[in-house]
Amino acid sequence: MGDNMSELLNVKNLKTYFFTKYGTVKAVDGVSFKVDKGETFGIVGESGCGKSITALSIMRLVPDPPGRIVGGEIVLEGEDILKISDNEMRKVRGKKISMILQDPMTSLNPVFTIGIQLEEAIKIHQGLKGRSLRERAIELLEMVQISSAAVRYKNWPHQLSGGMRQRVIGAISVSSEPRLLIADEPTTALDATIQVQFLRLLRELQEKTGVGLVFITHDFGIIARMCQRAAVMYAGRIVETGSVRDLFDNPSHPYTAALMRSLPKLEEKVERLASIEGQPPPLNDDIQGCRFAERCTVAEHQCRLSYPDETEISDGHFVSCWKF
Amino acid sequence: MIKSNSPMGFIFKIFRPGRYPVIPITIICIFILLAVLGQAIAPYSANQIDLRERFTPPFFMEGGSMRHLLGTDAMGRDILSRIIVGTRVSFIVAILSLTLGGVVGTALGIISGFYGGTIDSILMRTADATLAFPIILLAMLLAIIIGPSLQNVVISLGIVLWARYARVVRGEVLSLKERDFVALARIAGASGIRIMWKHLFPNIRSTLLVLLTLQVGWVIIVEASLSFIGAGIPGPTPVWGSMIAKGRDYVTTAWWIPFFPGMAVAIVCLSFNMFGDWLREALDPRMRQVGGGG
Repeated sequence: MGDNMSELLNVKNLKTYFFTKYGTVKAVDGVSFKVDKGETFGIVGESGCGKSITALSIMRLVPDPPGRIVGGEIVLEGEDILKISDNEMRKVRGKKISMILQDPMTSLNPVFTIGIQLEEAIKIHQGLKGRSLRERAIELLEMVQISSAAVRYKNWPHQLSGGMRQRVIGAISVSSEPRLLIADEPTTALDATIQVQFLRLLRELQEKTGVGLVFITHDFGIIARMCQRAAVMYAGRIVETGSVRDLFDNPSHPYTAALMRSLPKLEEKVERLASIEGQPPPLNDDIQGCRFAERCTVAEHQCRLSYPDETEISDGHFVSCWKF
Repeated sequence: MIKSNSPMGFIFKIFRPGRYPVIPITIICIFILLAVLGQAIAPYSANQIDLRERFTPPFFMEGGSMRHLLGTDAMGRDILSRIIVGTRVSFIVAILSLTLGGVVGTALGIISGFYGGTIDSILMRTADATLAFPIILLAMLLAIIIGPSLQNVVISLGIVLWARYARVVRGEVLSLKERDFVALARIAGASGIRIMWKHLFPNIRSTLLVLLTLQVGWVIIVEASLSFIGAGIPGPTPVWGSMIAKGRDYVTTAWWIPFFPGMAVAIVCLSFNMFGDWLREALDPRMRQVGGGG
């Protein structure tokens, strides 16, 4: 078992590369973070920074070829799931780890009623049959606040709204009572009001089931609302990890600080929001130094030579920057 | 646009999607009945030769009689009876070759689309090669090597059909497997076989059904063509294709001998195609009524 009893997931130096004809794309290049039981951990970053690939790596569902996990450890409840066989991993999926995807419109199979799809998920891992199976399915629908669940149970996916579909997917993903739930931008495709509803629901589900939640998003507002701790990712690496309070009150990595400056603030009226000049580097470039150096306003010679180590600047607040 | 008050417009209105295509369905049902009953309802034995009655024209022509409604051929065999009995052969060939081609093609198509990579390349290049090879030549080769038989017709048709199915199914699977419900099935711990069978296959069922219906007509025509050139089902079994072939010599003097079997092929083919077209629109998930679930 792990040295820490409250620890659920420990990702150590995870590297997932894609081997394409244009060279090796280091989509995830040395990512480390920990998630405690019942905690909500956020991963925030811009498009293409490796958030989703980190999630897929934890599920071991990186499309292979061209992708491959080339290094690191993913320790789930004391067991390195990169070392177990494909068959064993299949049992881990769904049972121990589950996932909610971004697009509720294509996440349900259009040719089955939602009841059948829920039952299918329950059947794989719990082996219930007949009446009790159906009752469990309806119970789950009620848990995700679908009104008149017994009727909705018989509905086809196309008869539900996006928010309802996402809740059904939520029900499916917690049906087998997983320890870890990865939510990959689950609210991006939803309306703002439905987003709030769904986030509240996720929090309630978490309180009821004690599931550890990894929440992937590009929205700092959601991080503030949902998470206890979060990591900021940039170009395949985590640049800063800390409690949400640390990140908001004391953003220490220049990238995090720049992101914070670019957020609209209620109390100030500005004509234009601040932006970060330039583009993230292409991930197939071999960059020795800090990946943010090209866009960084305080970068020095050292930053372009080698990648900085992670420094703990206060308790549980880690930053990878040469400034520290 | 066809005006709805013209006679043609009326016919098109009947076949409008959403309504049942009454006429094609009726025709298909009649022919299925003929295929099942066959000799039992034919007025004469299909191979009964009566030289005194040869070249009797159909009943509505001068010299024709009600005894032979569609006339007789060069050996005095009743054409109506031969068409009725021939229906069964056509349908058996259609069912067998479509089952063979459909099952093999669907299975390989799903595998090809789902796994991709080398398996996909090998299967799809094989399918391309198969489709590039003329079916008539293939059937003739088989006929020369092992002699013409129903079995050969089914095998030749099956060889072409599997490739057609595999291609269509693969295309569907390629787009389906990118959808999140397949990813979620994996996340839930489903195996590859389970995903193919329980998640992908149900999604291509309606496509398969439409493809199947649209192929029936084609299969019947090809079977008739094969019999026409002598690479199909050997005589004296009454087959539409060989009836047309034999009647070709008399087309100027006794046109009814090739005409009626030709009509049978055309009508059955057209009916199945119309039915298939209607089915395609009727099965479109977007056409499914909202609120009528359960």
